[in-house]
Parts: sequence; C-alpha cells; structure tokens
Amino acid sequence: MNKYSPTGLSFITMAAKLSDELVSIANIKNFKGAQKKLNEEPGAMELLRKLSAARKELSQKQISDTFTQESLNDFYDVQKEVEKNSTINEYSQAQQEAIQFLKNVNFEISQLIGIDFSSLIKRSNTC
Amino acid sequence: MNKELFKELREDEQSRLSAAIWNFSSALSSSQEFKEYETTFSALNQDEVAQQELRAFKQKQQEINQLFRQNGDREKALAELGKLQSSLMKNPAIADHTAAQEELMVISTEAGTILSKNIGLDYAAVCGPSCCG
Repeated sequence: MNKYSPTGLSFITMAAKLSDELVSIANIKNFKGAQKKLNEEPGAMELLRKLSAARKELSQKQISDTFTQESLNDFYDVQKEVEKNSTINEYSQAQQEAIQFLKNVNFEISQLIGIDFSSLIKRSNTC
Repeated sequence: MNKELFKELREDEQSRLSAAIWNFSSALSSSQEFKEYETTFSALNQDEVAQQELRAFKQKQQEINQLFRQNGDREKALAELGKLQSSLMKNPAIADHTAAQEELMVISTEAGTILSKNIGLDYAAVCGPSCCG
C-alpha cells in the first residue's frame, strides 16, 4: 500500500523538480563546490576537528569550574588558525549565502501555502 | 514572487525558480493531506469544547513544567503530560486534526529530505526556528 495519497505523491514529484532547480542556481552551486573542496582538503578538515575539540574542552572546563584565562587563550589560538584558512572561509561564506537563499525560498513557499513550510518537516536532529 | 529577495538572480533564473516554487506550493496545497489538514483545523477552531480542552491542557502543561523545574521529577512530569495528552485525544476534533497534521508532516518531511539531500543542507534546520528556543 502506498503511504501517500495520489496528490501527495505528485507533490513529492514537485519537490524533486524544485530541488533540481535549486541546485542549478549559483548560491547552491557555490555552496556545493565549497563543501566538496573542504571535504577534499584534509588540513582544513583537521583544523575544524581541532576547533570542535577546543570548543568542547572549553565548555567542559566551564562546567567543572577549571576555566582559566589560559584555556580561553588556547581556544582563541585555534580559532585564529581556522580564520586564516581560505578554504574554510570560502565554505563559511558560501554556506551563509546558501542559507539566506533557502530562507527566501522557504518564505515564498510559506506565503503561498499560508503556513511556515519548514515547520511541517520533522527534524532529524535536535540540539 | 518577491523579486527583491532574488534580485541577484538572472531574469531567466528568476522565472524558472518562480515556476518551480509555484508548482511545488500548488501541489502541496492541492494534496489530500493538506486539504484534510485545513478542514480539520477549521473544524477544531469552531469546536468550543475542544478549544476549552486545549486551553486547559496548555495551562496544566505550564503547571507541570513549573513543578518539574521546582522538584526535577522528570518521569512524573512526563507521565502526567502523557495522561493529559491521552485524555485530549478523546476529543474527536482534536484527534482528527492531530492525525491530519501527522499525515501532512509525513509528505512534507519526505519533500524536506529530498531538498536537504540534493542541496547538502538540512532544510528544516536552516529555514525553521532554532530548536534551542
């Protein structure tokens, strides 16, 4: 048995068409390109892992009350290193532009249907 | 389409995107799932008993949440909320609307998955309100 109504199924087809259109637009194309470049650069990926670990460590120190100015400086050092990496910068910039573009697309859809479309999607992750 | 939002696009891109958004939105609002959602929403809004039950539920929910913050008994708070929700579902207008919303969310989530997979960004997470509140 199909889990969707026939009209629901036709909506899913339209989602695939919209998605094809979106990936042909520069904002999304640039983002996908920057994402690919980032994934292919081990140095940049390592820096991001380092930043994530430093952020986690800082937060743990805050919780355990062992936080010092030195731990903050260590974190800033990693952050500065990340900021200097051009691949990461390009990725962040492209990601911000793609997100803004998608928000605008969602706004248009929501205006047409009368409900925030993104609120109808079940989240796979929560904070 | 609000052209101001997409002013960086070429005119042919704007036309194609506008058509794709229009077709997508029309297909969603013409779907049986969406129509059922609207019908049950309207019925729920006109049902005074259901509205009273929903108001009472929200008030009770706040009380339970407040109690949970005071004594931290999560299990007890969740059990009480579960009981309240079950009792709420005995109201046909609420149950029908909840079921219709669930169906609509199933097709919307499927569409969201297609968009997220192709774009490389989690559509709901980037377009929706933050789940952290």
